[in-house]
Amino acid sequence: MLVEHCDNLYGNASLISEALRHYQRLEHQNDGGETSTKKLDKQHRRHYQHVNECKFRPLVIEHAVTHKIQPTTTHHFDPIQLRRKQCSSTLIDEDLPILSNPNFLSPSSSSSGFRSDSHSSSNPTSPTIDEREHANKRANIIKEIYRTESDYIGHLKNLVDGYLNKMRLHTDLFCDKQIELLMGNIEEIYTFQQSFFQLLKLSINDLHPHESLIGKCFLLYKEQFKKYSKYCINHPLSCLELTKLENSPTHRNFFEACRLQANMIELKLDGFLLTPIQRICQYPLQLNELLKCTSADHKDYHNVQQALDTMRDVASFINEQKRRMEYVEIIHKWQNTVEGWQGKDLLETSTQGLGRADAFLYQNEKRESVILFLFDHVLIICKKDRRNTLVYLDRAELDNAEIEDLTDRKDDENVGYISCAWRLYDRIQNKTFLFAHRTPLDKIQMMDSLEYERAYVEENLVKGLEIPLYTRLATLKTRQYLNENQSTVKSLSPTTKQNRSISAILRTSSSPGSNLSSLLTTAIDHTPLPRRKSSLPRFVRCSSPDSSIDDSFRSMKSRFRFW
Amino acid sequence: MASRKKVLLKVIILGDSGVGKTSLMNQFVNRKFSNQYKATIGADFLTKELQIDDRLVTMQIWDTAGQERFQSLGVAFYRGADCCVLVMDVTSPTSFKSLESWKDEFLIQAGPRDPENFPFVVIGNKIDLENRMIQARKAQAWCQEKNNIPYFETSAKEGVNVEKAFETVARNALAREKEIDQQADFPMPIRIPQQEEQPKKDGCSC
Repeated sequence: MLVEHCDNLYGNASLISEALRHYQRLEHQNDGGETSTKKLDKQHRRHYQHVNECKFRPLVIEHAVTHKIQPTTTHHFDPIQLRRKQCSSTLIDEDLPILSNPNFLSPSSSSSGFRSDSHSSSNPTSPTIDEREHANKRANIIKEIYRTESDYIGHLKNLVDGYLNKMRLHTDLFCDKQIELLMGNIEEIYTFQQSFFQLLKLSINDLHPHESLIGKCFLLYKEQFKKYSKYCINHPLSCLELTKLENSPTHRNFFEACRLQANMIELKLDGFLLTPIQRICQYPLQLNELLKCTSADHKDYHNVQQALDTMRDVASFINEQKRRMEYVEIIHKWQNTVEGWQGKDLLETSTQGLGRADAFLYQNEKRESVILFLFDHVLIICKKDRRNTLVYLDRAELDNAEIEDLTDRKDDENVGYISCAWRLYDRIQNKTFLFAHRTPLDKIQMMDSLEYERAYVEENLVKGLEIPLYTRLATLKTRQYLNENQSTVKSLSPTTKQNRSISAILRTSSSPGSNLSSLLTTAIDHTPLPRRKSSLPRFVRCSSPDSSIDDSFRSMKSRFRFW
Repeated sequence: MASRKKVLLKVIILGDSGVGKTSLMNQFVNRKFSNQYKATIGADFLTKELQIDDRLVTMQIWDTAGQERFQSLGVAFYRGADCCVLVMDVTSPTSFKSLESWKDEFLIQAGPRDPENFPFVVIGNKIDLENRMIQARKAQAWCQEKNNIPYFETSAKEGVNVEKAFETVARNALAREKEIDQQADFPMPIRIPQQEEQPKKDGCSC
């Protein structure tokens, strides 16, 4: 037990030292930055040294601590909390000076894992009441962040040790695929959250919690937090799989046994599986509160500000990724309603529908009534047949295309009598298309949409928002697999179109590498068109991730339905 | 359907920030109230066992914690909710006005079966304060208009009516569960029809 324990700590220590290397780099960058004053830097470095010092301390006091475990007062018994108490270098009793202040303790607070440390200088001048209140508030929020993080680590531990690892042992009950579906990348999240938690813990100044500098912890783990998007995208599938599994009493009992064995609170697995999604949404809220009571001259002010922005961005990023993934499915379904599809599947090229328009296509001296469907990277040209079904006609690839806005001049050599026309030259396929619309307004909208398409692609590229092809394929395949299993009894007559789509997915996924590389090259090769000043077309929903942060979340309520 | 089976109810608590959601939860579950420090998010969820008639019910109460700002993530949070508690602060007219959108938000995101009869409860909190702005009549009228949602006036601080409100929502959720069980016992495959989905001729709906 003790050995294992030590291993764990060594592991943590190595994680932390890795984290600290990042930290140093970050520090270095900040040194060059304009925002940080010399004084700030000095403080950070000192703080960093403090962190460095503390790194190995828990090992030294390890054996002396075990008997001092106190019963927790939270609403549930939490093994990780017990361990945390064992790990923390100094167990602080409730009679510590700062803690004796009745205003300090939040009612349900049980975490006393703060380490007392003598490095922080106590303020020689006695602070005013206002200042003290402010400091108390800040200390409380720091404590809240710490306490909720510690609770969260407990949930993650339950998920990984309490469920996941036990599922792995029962190969008779679960296959690998099921486990993967159910738990997503929870292990990956657990690992980095543990080291994040360690760093957070080390960044908290126990004697003067309000002086703690925790902003950097978040900045440091920015990239790691993005791993949540994988988890969140998988979550609906996980729910489906869980519902399926819970139909069997054996599995139900197994999950209940896991829960009881690890002494978890009365929450079903689906509840635990939800906690990571909840947590990633909580960080911005907590940091916002922290920022509110961090005065501008506080040493952590700039970092907390940055951390807030970062965590907002991260949550928006994840939200956006999930939304897009859901949209990919819509796109895919739409493709299946189009007859005679040729060429690449839509989900290989695109993630978002950006507009549609009725138009005329001029080809070989013929005029044909068509419907244009604009997606990122590609314009799909369809027509309607007598049964009112969409039929695939052609496509234009937009990544290396040139669009020419033709003016309505009678003397134009090529277009002559056509009004509201524009020409698209697709360099990739070496094809030219000549389109015209019924009204000038239609054309303006189309032009705007095309422009927006470029902006959208560019934004994706810059922000790294595009969902990788393999994720798209994997998710769709899984969804199909789940639906198949669900509907085998019910629907015995799957349509031919569905069959086609499944085979199409299997076909495309057999060579993900080549597809991916082509995707990448097309994404990189495009030359942005010169911008025209214009607002977004009416029928395109602005998908700026920042909008989701807006307090007026209700505006987000309307869902984007484009066909 | 064995009536003595243990029941787990997922309860979502919604309302503007500062109306006392976390305090209500804390009062209901821990019988505690703290004036000292308003936690940003409180607990993720709290659980409490209740005896309702002959059934032992475990209520799993989920506090909102910013998910509502992230639409795609919010869906997961509301999913599978058995009942929903809408909270307003009787001293804040804005929080009363928001009830409508919270309710809509919930129904859109959770997409429950039979949304007309989904068990909501409305709580007017902070009746211990003197500067009341929303009269009980007004709130009651609103609730009646919305298919007779039960309305309770509470004080999380003094523990007035809190238990009753939560009990009612649990009771209604149980009643509904029975109804749905009786109605039909088939697994609803969540599938979107593909064939009928013809794109509209003119423009789009948004």
